[in-house]
Amino acid sequence: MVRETWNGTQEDLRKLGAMMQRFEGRDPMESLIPLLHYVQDEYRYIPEGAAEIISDCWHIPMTDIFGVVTFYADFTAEPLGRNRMSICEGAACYFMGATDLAAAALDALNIQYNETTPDGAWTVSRADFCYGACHLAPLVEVNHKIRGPLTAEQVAETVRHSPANEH
Amino acid sequence: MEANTLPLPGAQVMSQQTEIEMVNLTIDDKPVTVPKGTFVLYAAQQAGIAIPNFCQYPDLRPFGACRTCMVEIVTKRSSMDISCSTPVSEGMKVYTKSQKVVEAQRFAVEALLVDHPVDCPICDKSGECDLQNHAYTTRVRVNNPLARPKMSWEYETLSESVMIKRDRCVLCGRCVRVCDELVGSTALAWARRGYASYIDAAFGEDLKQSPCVSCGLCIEVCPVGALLNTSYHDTARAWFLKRVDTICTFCGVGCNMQIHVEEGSGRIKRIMADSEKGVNGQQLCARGFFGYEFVQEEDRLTEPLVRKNGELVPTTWREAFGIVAERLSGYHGSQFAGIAGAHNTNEENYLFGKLVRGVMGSNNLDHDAGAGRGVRALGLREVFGSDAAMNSFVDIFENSRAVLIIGSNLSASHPVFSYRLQTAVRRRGIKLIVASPTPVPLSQIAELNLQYREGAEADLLNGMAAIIAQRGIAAEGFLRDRVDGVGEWSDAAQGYSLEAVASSTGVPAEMLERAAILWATGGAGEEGRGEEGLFPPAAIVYSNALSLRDGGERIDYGAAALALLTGNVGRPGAGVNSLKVANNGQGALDMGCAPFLLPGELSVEDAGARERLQQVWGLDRQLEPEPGLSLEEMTRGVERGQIRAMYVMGSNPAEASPNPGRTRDALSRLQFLVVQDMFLTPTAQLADVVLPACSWAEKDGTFTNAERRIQRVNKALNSVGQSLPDWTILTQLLERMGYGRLYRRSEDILDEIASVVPKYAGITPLRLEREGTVVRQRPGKVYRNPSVDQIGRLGVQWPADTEDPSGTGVLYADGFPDGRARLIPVPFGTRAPLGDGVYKSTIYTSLYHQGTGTMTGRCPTLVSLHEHGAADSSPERGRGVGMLTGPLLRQSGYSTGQLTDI
Ligand code: SF4
Ligand code: SF4
Ligand code: SF4
Ligand code: FES
Ligand code: FES
Repeated sequence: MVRETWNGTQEDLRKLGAMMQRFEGRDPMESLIPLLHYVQDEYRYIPEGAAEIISDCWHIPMTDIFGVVTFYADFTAEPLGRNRMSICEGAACYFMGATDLAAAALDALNIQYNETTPDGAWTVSRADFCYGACHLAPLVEVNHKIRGPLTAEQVAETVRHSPANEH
Repeated sequence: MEANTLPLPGAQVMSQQTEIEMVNLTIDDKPVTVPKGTFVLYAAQQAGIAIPNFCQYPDLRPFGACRTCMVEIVTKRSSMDISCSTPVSEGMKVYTKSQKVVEAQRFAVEALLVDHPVDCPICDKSGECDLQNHAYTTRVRVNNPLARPKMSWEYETLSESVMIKRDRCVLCGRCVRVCDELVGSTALAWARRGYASYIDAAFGEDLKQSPCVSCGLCIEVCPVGALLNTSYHDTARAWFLKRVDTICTFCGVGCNMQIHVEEGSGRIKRIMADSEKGVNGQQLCARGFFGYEFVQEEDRLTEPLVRKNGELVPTTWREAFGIVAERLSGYHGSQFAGIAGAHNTNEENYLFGKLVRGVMGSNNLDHDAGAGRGVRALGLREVFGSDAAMNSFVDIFENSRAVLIIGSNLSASHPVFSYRLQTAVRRRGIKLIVASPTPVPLSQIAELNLQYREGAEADLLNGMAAIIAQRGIAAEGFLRDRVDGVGEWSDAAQGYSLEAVASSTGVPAEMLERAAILWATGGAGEEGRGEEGLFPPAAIVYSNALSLRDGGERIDYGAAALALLTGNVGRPGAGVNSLKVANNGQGALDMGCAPFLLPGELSVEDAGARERLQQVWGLDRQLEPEPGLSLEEMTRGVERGQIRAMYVMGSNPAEASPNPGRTRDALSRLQFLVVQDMFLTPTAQLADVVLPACSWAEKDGTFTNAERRIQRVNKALNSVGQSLPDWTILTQLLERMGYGRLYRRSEDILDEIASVVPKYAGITPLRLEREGTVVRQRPGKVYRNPSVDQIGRLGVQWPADTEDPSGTGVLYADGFPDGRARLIPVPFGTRAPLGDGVYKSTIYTSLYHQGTGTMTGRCPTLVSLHEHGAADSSPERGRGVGMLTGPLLRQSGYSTGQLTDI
């Protein structure tokens, strides 16, 4: 899947318009979250420019949109990498060596938690909740798929390829 | 207590409300009686019992987030509940000090200390911090209950005016909520959630790029040292601040404020709204909050200057007075002219008038907020006998059902009025109609926006009036009983066909009709006529700059026609309210600083009025019966050699004039020019003698705001250098000129004013201190379920000779000064065709600056927020005027000035 970043072009406006059209006649406040899902899926973040248009058209203050975007973990105000890894640091994973996995991934990519590599390939974050799959500990979630148990080497190997680039 | 035994001075606001039910309860065994719907926390406050709290704020909907305000409530059974959102009920017993209560409160406060840095020694808020206080009163013993590392944030700047230190934030949400509910800006956001939450501008942008208006309210309401005032930051300790109540010196809203002066240094450190008692509630705008810095600017005049060998050189007061007294004695009558200042106090403007008319025998007297034309052509005065705004601000907020704003950006000219109107529109569902050639901030919440062509105001208003007449929704009974000229007016109204008005104004016919009906019926629709044949009340509000422009009287006639036709005069929630722009524009007029008006809006041609003045002033000479020259005419008066000497107090015509070059030439041609000011303005630079005057913060007196409310100005700090209050300078000068030592205190002048100006009769300094009381409805859990609260408002509205200690809230409730009002027909098509290359433009002034910027231009914070006045241009104008495409413009005129690039 090829996904674009927001440049405020005609094409961007058309896409956003089409997404907003799906909610025609519905209450803007109720439609905001589903709409933001579409936007996040398309752009991997909620571009400020898109938020401005939504704010103007649906009369929702920018501050409210920003509040929603930062409240829910599903949305981000910064572009995320094409690939996302989240490393579980729940109790079980922690005891099984989650910190080593984290160090391996972050060192290999030379970034910190919640950062994106400069080439936009990877974003790594910490899952501050338990996946409820502790029998697989230590585990990571890569592009919505859970993988575990993993070793530090395997994790480093994973981030060296960029699964989303293989297509 | 019976509802009607409630003491309600100032109850004009109440007149529409139905009876208020009272509820009896006890708080800590103390009996308390409060209106139904009051929340326990406020009931306790009324009984003098303080309950810790963070997230409640008087004018906001309750939020219930902090749980610090827990109390024990016994109704049928005992329970613990938050007092900020629990309404009182009959027979309720409340305990606020029991051990159980204190423990619950302490628990809530301790929870806030998990991450709070407790860095009180370096915090601006120390000494006035709710967290400090509540931790102390609830006897908190641990500062880090979880004993884990606290999160920490650095100082960050959100804009040039607002800073944040997020680790001190207790997440009460007051800032976010006041900005939304009370200011209408929605500039602040909650980011993230749970313990990771923090306050930010949307998308972390600079607040300046957001709808933030730098009103400072978020800073003022922050209970801790999280949101900080950039100009106050690290400059003072709260416990060294002396707080002096006074009135803002900028616009006609007349906000009550407190000046905080540091003991020792005697310098102003900041300004806050603080008191709830003013027309402004607890709000100020950027000018009020940050606009004090000029007082302490280096270039304040600190000694009298006199021109010697072409140079202005310092001198003593003695010599300066000597020169002025001696030179002035060489001129008399129309050789002399005086210009007073709309930012001066009533006392000063009154004395100035006495000097010009009484001593110098000249009627060439004007002030700087009258469009330079001596406000001769005020349409409202012709129709009603006075051009003063008819209804009170609070009355409009509480009682209007529809409000029409025309040709004004109130968010810049009268900011706090616009903020509070915004709240009222959103809470009470007032139907707001904004008519403006360019969108203004209030357009966003308007029910209808009428974007009309430049200069079409008169056609628009008279056209709407014609629609009302044609549709038969006029108030026939009211017209019959109280209005003349109906027949003549109706004939002229025939000329306003819907199509013609639509094409002249550019507003579609259907919109015009909707607007006319919406406003005339107070939003109730054509079937909504109430008893006495009237619809719910509707008000018209505009900046008085509109009345003052060329042809402004036709706008006034149109507004008056709308109000008269619909009976929207003399009742709550209605009125034609043309708001004076300057803080004491109304007062300057009341004090007779106009070429044809004596104090009290009495004509100079009125022999009786002159007679009275002569007596009080102890003159053996007759006052001149001929109107004098207006500010604009004075220039020509100098040019033709009539005016030889001039006295300018607190105004800057050399810059403010529509034609500054010509005015400057004229001023420099004078034989003798005295300028009394705080700064060496371009006008002062031309003077022969410059007398250093104090700022408003350094003197006593009164200002009269745009709703006729006379309010006290109190001295907060000592005069800078040798500068003196204008009234003192004038008093001493009169003494030098042989009139004796007339006044020792500014109050002595007020006493004289009360005896001379009929509208001010009954005003005493003491009465101004006294609080009138209005009952205000505060939002309950939901807007439609308000709680009721009584608060006082300071000041007295003229005419003051009333039983009600707060004066007259609604003008003409008992009829018009001349018996009846008169509809004045305006022929259709006043939007005259303009010549080639001539364009009409409405340029709204900036929120951050006022006048020629003598004051605001010297406030670094305001300048950093907005360096120049930027001009808005409507599309029509933008195409025509090349200059408007340039980056910034400066309007160097009153209302019809020329534009120059800067
Ligand atoms: S200064 Fe006023 S407008 Fe700006 S964020 Fe604070 S409350 Fe809102
Ligand atoms: S910044 Fe101040 S007002 Fe705003 S939520 Fe935090 S503590 Fe409350
Ligand atoms: S400038 Fe006007 S609105 Fe602003 S604080 Fe002063 S009086 Fe109030
Ligand atoms: S702790 Fe990682 S899945 Fe439960
Ligand atoms: S003040 Fe009552 S819960 Fe915060």
